[in-house]
Amino acid sequence: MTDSRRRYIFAAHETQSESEMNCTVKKIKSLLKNGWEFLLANGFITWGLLLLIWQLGSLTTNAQFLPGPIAAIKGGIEIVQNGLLLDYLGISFLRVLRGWLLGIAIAVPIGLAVGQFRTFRLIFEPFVNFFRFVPAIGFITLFLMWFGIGESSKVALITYAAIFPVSINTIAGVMSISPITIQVAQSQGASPFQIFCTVTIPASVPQIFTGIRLGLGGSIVSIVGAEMLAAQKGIGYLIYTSRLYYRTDWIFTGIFILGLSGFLADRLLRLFGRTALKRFGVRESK
Amino acid sequence: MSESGDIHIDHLYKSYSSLNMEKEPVYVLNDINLDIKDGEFHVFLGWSGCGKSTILNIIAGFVEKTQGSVQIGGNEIYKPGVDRGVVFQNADSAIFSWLNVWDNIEYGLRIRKSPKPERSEVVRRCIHLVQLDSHEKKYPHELSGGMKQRVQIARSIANNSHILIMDEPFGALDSQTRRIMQNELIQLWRDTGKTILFVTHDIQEAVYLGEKISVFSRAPDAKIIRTIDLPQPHPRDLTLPSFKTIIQDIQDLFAEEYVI
Repeated sequence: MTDSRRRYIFAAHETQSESEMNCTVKKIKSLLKNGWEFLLANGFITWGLLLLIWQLGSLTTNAQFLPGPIAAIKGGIEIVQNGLLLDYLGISFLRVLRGWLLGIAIAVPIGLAVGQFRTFRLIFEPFVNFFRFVPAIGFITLFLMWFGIGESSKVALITYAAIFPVSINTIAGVMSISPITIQVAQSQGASPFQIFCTVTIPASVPQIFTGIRLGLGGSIVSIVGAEMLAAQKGIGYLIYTSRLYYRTDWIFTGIFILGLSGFLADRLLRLFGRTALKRFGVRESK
Repeated sequence: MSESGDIHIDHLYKSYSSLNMEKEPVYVLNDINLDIKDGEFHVFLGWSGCGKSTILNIIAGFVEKTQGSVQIGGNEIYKPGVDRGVVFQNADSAIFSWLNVWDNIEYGLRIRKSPKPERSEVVRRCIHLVQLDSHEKKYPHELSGGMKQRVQIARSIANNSHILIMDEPFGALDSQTRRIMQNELIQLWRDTGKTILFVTHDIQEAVYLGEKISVFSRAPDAKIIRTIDLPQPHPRDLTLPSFKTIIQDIQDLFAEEYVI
């Protein structure tokens, strides 16, 4: 083997190991990048940042004004252990569920009728467009007078909040059906009533579902307002009354539980839409 | 059955009132007279917006006429009916997206409460006729453009519509698929003896398919400026001199009409 040849092999060997090292570096880099991507995409960065800012903010003041996340967790554990939180959560959950379902039961038929019939539309639309700007909280005292201090006033308030998103989206769903789709049914001998049942309703399912999702959001949001109404228990009651006991940490627990249950309920509802209503064209939305 | 399916259009006018009340109404169809024989393949040819789709919509019963008469087998048309099957260009609106291929084709029979075993038999036959046998459980969003048009055609056949009204049915298809669909449509027409009313703005397509071609003038005040007889057998070779002459004639006719 000549000298020059040996040198060549040596050089080749060196390059190879160098490229091997480059490769490892690249792997680590891509792993880091993927990890960051994963954390970012799944909201870990957002939550981490929020907790950090919150903790730092709490250090500048006292615990009754702004308890930090650690204090809030401690306070939360306290009411989880004595069963208060679960009790309150169950009660609020039931109120939201009843108000929301009642709202759907009222709003979907109204929305279908308003979308389908011009006369209904002319009568109801000004009404809908007036009251949708009046928030549920505006009705607290009225509902208290009308429905009493029992469950019905609270459920009524949540129902009110759910009605508007559900009905407005149902109306839009019916009105966006292409005239061609209706003509297809007409030319096959379908009566107006048959068209309503076999075309109008299934064709508006995706938008009705969007309304139902937004209605769930509205219902959960208005639980705090509803439980300002002479309530004795509930997450909204917890948030509203904890200030009286200087338990600011419980307010944060309540806020966290409210946000989390809304988030989970929406996830569950979307899963239902994706699977059970898939054939109606309900797909993953933005 | 000889005369029962003849279509007779007599002094047909269609106008839309203009927003300005003092102005004259705008006529989209102006004095249309036309006879279409039972079993004829009749093509309506004209520029976009020339009123040819309006005629189809009136025959289908979707649009009210302003004046004149449209009769099928001696009966005046005033609303949609099962005897006229419609194939729309926009298949995405014209096929029910929440029903699969089978259910879409079965829809009319089900609505009219035809007995189930008979119904299934008809649907199976129609699916086979348009060669969608392996796709019957698919939903519209899983189908290609050509397949969607096959569903629409099969639906009309399943309803036993004697007249097929087709409004630029192949307009949204790529040229290869379009040619295949054209040939299949001719085959279907010959096998079933249905009357086909076919709207297109494509001269080649009109000459390739039609037994008779009604050439429309420009809207507003659309008229039929010429009706061309094409008794030649299918499949047609448009490169033959006789067809070339016809195509050239129509192009000249358009060139006179449309000063762009």
